Amino acid sequence: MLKCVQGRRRLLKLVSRCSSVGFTFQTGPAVPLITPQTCLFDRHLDRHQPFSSGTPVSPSANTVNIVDDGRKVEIVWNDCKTSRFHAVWLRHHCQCEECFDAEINQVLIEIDKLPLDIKATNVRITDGKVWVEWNGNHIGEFSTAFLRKHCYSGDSLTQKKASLKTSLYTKPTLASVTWTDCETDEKHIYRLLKDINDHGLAMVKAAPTTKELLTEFVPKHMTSLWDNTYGKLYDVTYMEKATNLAYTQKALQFHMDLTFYESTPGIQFLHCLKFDESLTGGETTFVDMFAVCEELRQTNPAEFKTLCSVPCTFSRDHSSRDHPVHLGIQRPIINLNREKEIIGVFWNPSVVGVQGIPEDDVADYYKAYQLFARAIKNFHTKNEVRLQPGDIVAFNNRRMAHSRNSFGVGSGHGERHFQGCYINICEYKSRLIHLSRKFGDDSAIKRVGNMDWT
Amino acid sequence: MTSEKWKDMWLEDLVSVSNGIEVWIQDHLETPVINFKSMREIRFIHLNMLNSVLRSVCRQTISRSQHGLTLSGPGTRVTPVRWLKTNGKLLSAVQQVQVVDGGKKLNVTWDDGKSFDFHSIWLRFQCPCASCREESSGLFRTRPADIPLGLKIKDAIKTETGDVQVEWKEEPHHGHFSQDFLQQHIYSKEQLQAKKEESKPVFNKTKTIEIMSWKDVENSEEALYQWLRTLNENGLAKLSDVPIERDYLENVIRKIGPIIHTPYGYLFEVATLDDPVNASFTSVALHFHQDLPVYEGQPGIQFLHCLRFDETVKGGVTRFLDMYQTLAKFRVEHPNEFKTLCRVPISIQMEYNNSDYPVLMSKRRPMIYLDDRGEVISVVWHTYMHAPLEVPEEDVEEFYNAYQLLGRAVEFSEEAIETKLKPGEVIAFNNRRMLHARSAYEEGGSGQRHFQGGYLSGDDFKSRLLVLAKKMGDSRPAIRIGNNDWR
Repeated sequence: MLKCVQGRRRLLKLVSRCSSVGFTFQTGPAVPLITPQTCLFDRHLDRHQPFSSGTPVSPSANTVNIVDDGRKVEIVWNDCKTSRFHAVWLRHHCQCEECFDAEINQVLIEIDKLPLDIKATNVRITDGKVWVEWNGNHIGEFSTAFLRKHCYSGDSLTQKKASLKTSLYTKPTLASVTWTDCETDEKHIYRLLKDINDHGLAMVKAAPTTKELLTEFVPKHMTSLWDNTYGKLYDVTYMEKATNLAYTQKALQFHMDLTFYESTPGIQFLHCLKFDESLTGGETTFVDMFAVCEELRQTNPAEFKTLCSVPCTFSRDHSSRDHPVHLGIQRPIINLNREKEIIGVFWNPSVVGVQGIPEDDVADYYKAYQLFARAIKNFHTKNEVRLQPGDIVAFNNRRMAHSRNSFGVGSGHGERHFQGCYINICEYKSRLIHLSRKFGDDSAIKRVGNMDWT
Repeated sequence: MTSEKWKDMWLEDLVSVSNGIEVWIQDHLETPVINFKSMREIRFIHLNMLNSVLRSVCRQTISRSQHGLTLSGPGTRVTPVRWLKTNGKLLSAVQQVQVVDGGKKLNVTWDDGKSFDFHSIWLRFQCPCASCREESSGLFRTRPADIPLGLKIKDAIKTETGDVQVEWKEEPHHGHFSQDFLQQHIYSKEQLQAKKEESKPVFNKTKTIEIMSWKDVENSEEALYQWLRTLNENGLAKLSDVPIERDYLENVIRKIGPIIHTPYGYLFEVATLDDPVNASFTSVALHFHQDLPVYEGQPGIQFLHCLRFDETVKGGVTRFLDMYQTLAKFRVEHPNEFKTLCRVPISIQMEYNNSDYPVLMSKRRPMIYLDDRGEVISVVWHTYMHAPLEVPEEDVEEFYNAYQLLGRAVEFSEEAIETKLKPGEVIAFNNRRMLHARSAYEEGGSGQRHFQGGYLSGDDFKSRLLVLAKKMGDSRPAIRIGNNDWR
């Protein structure tokens, strides 16, 4: 591992050029980072990008021609880029009433009847729209914005993906919004969800410390709480004779919650109800797993490859509870799309039991597994937070792993009580897109780790 | 009683359970006696396990006398010691252990001749001791970052009870492994292959949909378990005699697990609605599709409860198609096109603007996902919710060719199962495996077709099935449900 700062700067620049996570090297302390008591967000508001409800202006089409003997249509844009669309692609995506129901956003063309050898026989640009006639018997019109957005020629697909990359968050304070602002103006909910998307986590400050507050706050502003056999809302408290490590004072190593569910919980909310000052320690620390994976890809490519190809078995066989469960899934810890970008990461050592891995893979697998565990534990950038009563930390459980420092009870009977809940990752993204269209720009939404190949 | 007579009653099941071992039960005696063929088979008998196995197999409880259940071998009456039924094979005992490969592996040999080398690191991560594993919750406390790399075994012994104790060099840590655990988790290629074979779907050739009465399923765990097994194996199952009340479906779903909340709500109406969000809520025909493919975790099981289906309504027949069966055939007939659909991603989208918060969801992935052995682990099929294809130019024509071929295989398949639901019936089906379609219907004047629907997560369904299986003493694994599990 490169230890000197200069070396690390070089490493991060290298990673940034050829990976799906761009690093912005910032000066200042990397580890540990403590959130100060006062909210800095309000002061920083002026320096943030102003909320914009306008959509980016799309280039206009200069010329359109039939090429390749009618198999393709070529458009030259006013910014000198060229797009080529297959005639069959255009026919399948015809936006006319007969072919597409715009009200319910559904394609009406039946795939088994689509003539695959269809040709474009006539094309023109009129009123900023591109008109296409196929085989002399069907005409469709396409907005230039639609065609530009869905261009798949040359390196346009690669370019689109550049905006989806996440960046490592290294600022000393977590982005935050206040409870009151969230309750009064939707744009603060947008801010919160956008910060979670950009940085992986964000805070809501100065919320009431009433129990079950999350059961109202989250569905009201986002979407319903994820219901499962563990319940919609759970308590994290310290118990004298605890049966689960989470309910003790002991440290919890880095993990992502409930990785034995196929659609692992998306956004997790932790609401601090009580955290007495007499208790020392008990900080919650977060690490960006996308960033850890990208660094591992550079430093240990063989181990990275192993973690992408040999599957891990996450399981929860718990019969001695009121509602017994036998959950589990086997899949690789790191998941890539075909462009080799990271689309999903799963990490939770406490539910990794018996591994059904072929003997030839065992040695490599465990070596990679252990190295990855060390990479996470020793990662140079983490966000550490000691939650205050009234704090709600909201983080992407598909991207950030979290841990807890042990805490000492001290001489008195200190209390530490959080409540937590989850929302579905796809529903979170849907809400973010909606609010982005309203207050910002929906083309700038980063990957969330929900196994989507986009 | 001859063994033939017992065979008629339940031995077929017992044979599959006990791998060809013949059993005679003389339960007319004061103390029921279970006779086994040889001493070896009865060496490991666990009383409670045996009881639950026999109960599920015989469908009647073998009443225990005051003296309890007795097991007998040839010529001798012996008391049971220990038995773990696993995949129908009784387990043998560990004969010897030997540290090999410089401490990197441990060779374990059983008295039936089986031998296997366990990696030292594999054993370390499975250590069940109190500092590695919480007894109450089963969660692991092992810290992978703190375990030395390349850990080697210093010494290993076979204990008096036949278990294995391991001591490692680099760590002052001892591991104690039961011989059953080791035998059950041998990870040779053959063993892993055999396990995977057991979870492969078997295709329903009869085209009938198994039906059970809700009255039985509601009140008996055994009946519920049987129904869930059928649903798992066949991909679909029906319930009759479900009260024709609005929202009653909630009781049916909650018997298994929590209802998923979706953009359609918790329970949704399947009828001709005034403001339909998609074609499902109209009377038009629907081609084969899955519901809500935009979700990463697509709803696993879908339930449809028929509240009303008047005689005057024409059409409205529901059809199902086993996509796994279709793909198995497709991959043989069109191997290149199959590969294309595993490689080139499609885009699915769903946009509704009618609810409090608009639904704007999309997903991009290949239609078919395979595990490391080329088995299908999930498939996505929805030709309506298609979003603009975004793949490199060179893939476009190849994709459409494959997509159309599969589209035709689906539309013109002869394996489709048809049913016309009756009021009071509930049909449940695996939404990831079975495609469903509907013929158009005409309600005419006063006729009506009205169902209510709901979803259950595939993970929760499988969990409930396996928990009940354990309770019933059935150690068979679940059939793949298409939730991207590589097992």
